[in-house]
Amino acid sequence: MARYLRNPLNVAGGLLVLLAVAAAVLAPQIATHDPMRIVISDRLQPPSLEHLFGTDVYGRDVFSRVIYGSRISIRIAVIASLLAFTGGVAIGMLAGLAGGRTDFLLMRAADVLLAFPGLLLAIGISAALGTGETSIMLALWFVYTPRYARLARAASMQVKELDFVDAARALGSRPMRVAWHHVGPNVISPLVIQASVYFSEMILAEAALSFLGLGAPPPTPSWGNILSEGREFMRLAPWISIFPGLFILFSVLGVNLLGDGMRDTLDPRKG
Amino acid sequence: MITVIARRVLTLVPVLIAISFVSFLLLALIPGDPAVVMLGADAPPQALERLRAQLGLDRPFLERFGWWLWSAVRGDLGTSLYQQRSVAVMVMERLPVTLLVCVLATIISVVVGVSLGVIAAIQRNRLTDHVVRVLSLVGLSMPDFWFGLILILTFSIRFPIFPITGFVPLDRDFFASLQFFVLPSLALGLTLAGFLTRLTRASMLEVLSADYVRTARSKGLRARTVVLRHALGTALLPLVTVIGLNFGRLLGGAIVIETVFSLPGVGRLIVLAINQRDFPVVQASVLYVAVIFTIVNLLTDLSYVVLDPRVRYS
Repeated sequence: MARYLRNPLNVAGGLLVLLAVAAAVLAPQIATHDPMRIVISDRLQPPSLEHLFGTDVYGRDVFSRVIYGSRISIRIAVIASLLAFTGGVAIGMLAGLAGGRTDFLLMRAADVLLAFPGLLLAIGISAALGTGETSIMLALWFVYTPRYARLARAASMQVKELDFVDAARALGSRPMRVAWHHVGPNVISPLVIQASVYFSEMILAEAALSFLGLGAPPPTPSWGNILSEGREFMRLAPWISIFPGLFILFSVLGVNLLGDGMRDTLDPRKG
Repeated sequence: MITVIARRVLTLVPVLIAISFVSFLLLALIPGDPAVVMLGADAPPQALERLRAQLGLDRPFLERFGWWLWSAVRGDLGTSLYQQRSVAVMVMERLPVTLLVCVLATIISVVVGVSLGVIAAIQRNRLTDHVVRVLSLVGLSMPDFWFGLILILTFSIRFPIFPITGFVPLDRDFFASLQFFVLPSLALGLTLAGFLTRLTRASMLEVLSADYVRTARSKGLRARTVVLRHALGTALLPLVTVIGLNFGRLLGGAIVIETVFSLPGVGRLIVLAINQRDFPVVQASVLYVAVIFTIVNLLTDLSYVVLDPRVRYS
């Protein structure tokens, strides 16, 4: 931990992530206005002390909308990450430990899903399921499960050859116990670092999907849909699109710095 | 080498069948009656009936897939619900735009990413290295479509260098058309460059500490010769795979970026079709783009046969 904190970039990453989470959790306390309240007389106001990030075409406060928007983005990325992580690890370990036909079938299925560009598949799935937060979550779950599964499979195939696993098996542990107590923990730890990469990809993907109008329907604010509403007013009111983008940038940057830091701390040879 | 290539190409067949199965399944994901979802609840019953027949909803699932696959092989992916035109033709018309954006973005990302990565590796732990590392992190943390908007703001609104609206088709006047591609390709290419910079730097550092590079150094060769002649080639080899995989990222990114810049590519087609619930178009576009990605992956694999003498694919 001390070693992790020695690098100022790691500290900065942690702070950025903390800020993003705080914005999501404490949105009602941080927001200065009601994110939904329409005040036509205040439309397209530039940033000021009253409206820190200006106002949009309906006179809504962009700062408050961006703060509330962080809730959706972070919620989707967290839930989809958890789903994909558990699903992927379960499938990957099953394939890696069972081997044979099970392994072959599961991995061919994963290959097929990986043959699609991730964002394209996510767009296709959430378009079919219909717009909304749930369909984006399901789409990202679908897209990322095979990615986790491949990594978990590779890791569990390595781990299962190690002596302590053989020892456990020789002592008569049942396969489920070996998987859960001996292989599992050693598969999960390297995946946690990769999870930070996938988490940041999910935030970007969620933003892209809701930018395209596949996410939470307006007037609910999300980073992506604020950006897309702002696109039409780039000339008159660029602040509507600039600020949510900066929020995405800084949260993703925070996650990436955090992930880099973990990697360097756990594997000091690299970096 | 020919047999190696031929065998590898043959493995494409099951992959392509599986890809079309997944694209076909997309329709099955639609909750409720797809015909109602596409045409709306107040559509006349005859129209709904006709669409159900057209989509084959009245036939068993596997028969429907078999039929779909057979038509797809013959290049028939159905008819658009809104334009009464062949979906395959609509996608093919727009594919060149998307591919050009992706190819230009690939070139930009490789040129920028590799040069910055090499510079950072040579200047390891000096100021330049730190600046490059932060820049590349910012690049890969940035939503590419947002960066596109910032580029529009800077180079189309503040300094009106590139046009913001309109389009000249590629086959009418290639060079006039090209100016519409500059900003979108930069938006995709520069954000992706961050990724390649980091990989090049890491790969370069590994190679620079290898024995044969030390030998070259100790022979008294100039630093530049060592880096360019001895280290770079080896360091770039692992990047080939990444460039291939990145193409998938770009194909996904192009969907969004085409919307930002109103470029008439497949991405724009997909987004319009989604808004109109024109599902045959979405399905066909997804299939085509996935097929292209698969072909790019195949080419990447094959390039190793040519580039890396160690790979013999026994």
